Order: sequence, then structure tokens, then C-alpha cells
Amino acid sequence: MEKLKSYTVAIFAILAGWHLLSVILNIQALPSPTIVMVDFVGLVPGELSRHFMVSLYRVGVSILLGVALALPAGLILGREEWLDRFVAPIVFVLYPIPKIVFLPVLLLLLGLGDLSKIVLITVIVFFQILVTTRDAAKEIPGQSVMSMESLGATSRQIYTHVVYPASLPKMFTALRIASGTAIAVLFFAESFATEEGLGYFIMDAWSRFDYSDMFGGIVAMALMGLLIYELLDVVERRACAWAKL
Amino acid sequence: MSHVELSGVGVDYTNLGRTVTALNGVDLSIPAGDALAIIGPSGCGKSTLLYVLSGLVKESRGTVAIDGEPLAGRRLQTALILQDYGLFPWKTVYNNAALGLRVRRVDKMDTEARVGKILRRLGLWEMRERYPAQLSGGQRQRVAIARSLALDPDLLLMDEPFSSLDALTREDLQNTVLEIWSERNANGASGSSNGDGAAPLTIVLVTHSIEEASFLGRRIAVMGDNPGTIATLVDNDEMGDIDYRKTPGFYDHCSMLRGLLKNGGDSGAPKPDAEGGVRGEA
Ligand SMILES: Nc1ncnc2c1ncn2[C@@H]1O[C@H](COP(=O)(O)OP(=O)(O)O)[C@@H](O)[C@H]1O
Ligand SMILES: [Mg+2]
Repeated sequence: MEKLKSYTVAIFAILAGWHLLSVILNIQALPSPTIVMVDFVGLVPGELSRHFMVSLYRVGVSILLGVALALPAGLILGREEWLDRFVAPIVFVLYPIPKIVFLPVLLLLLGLGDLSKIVLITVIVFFQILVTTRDAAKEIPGQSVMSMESLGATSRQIYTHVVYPASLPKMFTALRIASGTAIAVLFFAESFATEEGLGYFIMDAWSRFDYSDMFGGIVAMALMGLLIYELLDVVERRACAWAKL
Repeated sequence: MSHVELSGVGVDYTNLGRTVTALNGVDLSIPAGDALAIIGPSGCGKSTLLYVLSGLVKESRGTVAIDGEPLAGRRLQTALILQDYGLFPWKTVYNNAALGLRVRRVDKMDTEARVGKILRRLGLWEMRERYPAQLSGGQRQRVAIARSLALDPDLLLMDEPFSSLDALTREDLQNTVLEIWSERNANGASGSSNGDGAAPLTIVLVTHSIEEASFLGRRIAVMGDNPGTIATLVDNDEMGDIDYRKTPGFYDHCSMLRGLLKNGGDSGAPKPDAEGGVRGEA
């Protein structure tokens, strides 16, 4: 409830700032929030919801896939030096490349549908989570592993009881950052040669000079970001309650 | 037959092509039910010696035998307590204490019975649902002790277990360890009344505290200047009572130890009970 209160205050502050700016600038490209809200309410039951769901599906699947692939891979790289010695250089060469440059290739190979977008965003999430969990797993004190070994744990048990839980809080921090990047990249990817998703909706409204529709799409995108952020928060609080003590 | 027998044990660590000799020519025999304290300056190889006993580090030279068998890797009846990082902050007190049994796939009912009994014995039962972050330093080390005892060990190894605790808490935990050791060894190996743990409990404690070594060590191995060797082995037969700390004998013993440490472990005059400085290659 405390959270709901602070969100309400924040939303009002944003709307007030937005309103003020639209009055000062007084241009068509920045409509007042009141106009946008009225328009937004009309859009929600119609096509905006469909575009919202398409975008949410693309980001959601990408995040799940990215984590499912990167978390185990990162933990193993962090612990198995023989493998890391070989793989880490490859990772660090690929990591700084803005993955968005692969969009043309992906569009060509995987088509204009969901798949090309999902693969692109999955790759972005994958690298952020991979690098973070690898470092987190590397930082685990040798004594933690030793005390596990002294209990007679197998290497698999060391992963499940120590390496995985120890790295989880850092994984969530990285995931929060990655999900922001994921949404930004999704917008970009959806503004190309597709007719579905919030990116398409926003760019389409822009091309029609329908600025209140365009801002309706932007509001929907902000809400999607908020939804993902809050979902991550709930999952994190359940998975790493101990880290908040 | 002694419980633990080391002869000519040496350990070399190789890191980035450089070799460090951490232990050299260590001969040591520890009878069952002994309480051995190992004391010496930082970096002299105390932890390494303990890791060798636990089977976590393999000796580079010499032989290690427990109950007459050459030690090959970890041994189920050996428990190890480290100074830090032994407890996992993501596990509750209960789950931390039960971890060893869980890893060994002991069944749930049996685990509950054993862990419950030990948590009660150590005054931790009320806190079983808490996480380590919600405990004091002393309580945390109690949980570490509980986890080790749950394994029902006959050899308990401790690496500076209380060195990050304040003085009073440290004494309190030392008393607990002494009590547990006395309980396990009082009834004798055969006529044990407490069902489990018929075997006596042998304790090997690494410490840099002279008081701790004198209080908990029935014998004290002093590791000296010459890196990785045991310089002197001292007897301390008066230990075993919680009030020993308050006696003049205790103070005398501590100053004697202090003297030994200052001289790098050399006792000067040959002592009748010292097993002697072990030097040279094995
Ligand atoms: N994993 C390791 N790799 C290389 N050298 C080590 C390693 N562990 C310990 N050493 C070295 O071995 C010596 C003995 O270390 P240790 O047994 O930890 O001593 P203590 O516990 O008495 O402080 C030290 O010089 C230390 O630097
Ligand atoms: Mg040490």
C-alpha cells in the first residue's frame, strides 16, 4: 500500500510536469495529458490492447529465455576455470557490440514476425545476465565452497546450495537493467516492417500526425515497463528474501 | 593405535608457476579422544595442516592415516568448522544445521530428530526459522557447531572458529566446546550411555590465541619460524575444567606458551614431554 501511494504521487508529478510543458511549448507534437488520457481510455478496449499484448509477449518470452540460458551458463563459467579460459574471451569480444546491428540479419533469416524480435532481445538479455552471473559466481569465497566440500557435497550440490543462491541477487539487479534495454530495443525492432506491437503503434500514429494516439502508445509502453519491473520485484522478493534482511 | 597419524607430511601450493611450501616434514600422532590445539603465527601453515586432516588438501609428501587407513579424500566422520563463510545467509538456522545431513541424503525424519536435538542442546531451537543475518556472531558460530555435530563426527576440526567474536562470547563458546568434548569422552569408548556417538570425539583446533590453546588443548602443537613445521608439542593435562581459566596454573601455562611462540617455537632446554622440533626433509 505504501508503494501504491508513492506511485500515485509519482504519476501525478509526471502528469503535472507534462501538462506544464505542453502549455509552455504549445505545439501539436506535445498534446496535453488530459487529451491523451481521454484518447487512451478510448484506445484501450480496441487495438492498443492487442499491440500491448504482442509487445509484452515478445519481451516476456525473451526475458525468460535469456535468463534460462544465461543463468546456468554464467554460473558454470564462473566456477569452471578450464571452460572460462576458453569462453570468456569470446564473450568479452561480443559483449560490447550493440546487438541491434544484427537486426537486418535476423529479419532476413527469421522473417518479420515474433521470432526475429524475440531472438534479438533474448541475445541482449543473455549477455547482460551471463556477464553478471559469471562475475558473481567467481566472487564466491573459496571457504564457502570448502565448507560445502567438507560436508561431502557433490559438485552439483555445491551449485544448487551455494553458487546459484549466492549469485541470484546480482542476477536480479542485472535483469532489471536488461529489461529496460529490452523494451527500448523492442521499440526499435517493432518500428521496422511489422504491423504489430507498441513500436509499430507509436510509429504509425506518428506517421499519421496523430499525436494523442502516439502518446497513448508511449503511456502503454511506460505501463508495460512498470509491469515488468514490478513482476521482477515480486519474484525477487520470493526468491531472495534473505538478501533483504 | 592412534586415531590420526601423520608422518613426514609436506604440502606445496603451486600458483601461477610459483611454488610455496606450506607444510614440511610434519610428524604428528593424535590419539582418539584427544584435544589438540595448533598455534602459531599467521602464514605458518596451520590451516593447511587442518585441510590435510580434513582430506580437502592432498599432501604432496609423506603419509596421512586415520584409524590405520591411508586418508583418501573426504571422510564421513570428519567435520570441519571454518572462521567465516561456513554458514549460508540464504538458509535458515535449521537448514544450515541440517545441510550436512541433507547433502548426505539422510532421511528427513532422522535429520529432524538429530538436528532438533543438537539445536536444543546449543540453545538455538527457538531461532531455527531465522536467517544468519538475524543472529549475533556467537549464535552463528553455534549454528556452525550444530551443523558439524549433526554429522556425528569422531574428528572435529576447527580453524580459528571464534577469532571474530568478542571476548565474552568467545569464552562462552569455548566452554560449550569443552563441555561437548568432555561429554563425549567421559563415558569411555565402550560404556557409552548416549546411544549414538559411541566413539570418542577427537578435536583439532587451530588458533592464534594463547588462551584458547591453553583452555581447549590437552596437547598444544606450536608451529614455528621454520615455515610449515611443528616446533614443539606441549602437554596440558590440567585442562578439562571450565574453571581452569581462573587458576594460576592456567596463567603459568599461557606465559610458557607465549615464551615458546616468541622463540619461534624453540623451547631451548629439551623438555621431557616435547616430541621435539621436526625439521629437515622427510
Ligand atoms: N591456495 C594457496 N595457494 C598458494 N599459497 C597458499 C594457498 N593457501 C595457503 N598458501 C600459503 O601457504 C602458507 C600457509 O598458509 P596457511 O596454511 O593458510 O597458514 P595459516 O593458517 O597458519 O595462516 C602461506 O604462506 C600462504 O600464503
Ligand atoms: Mg589460517
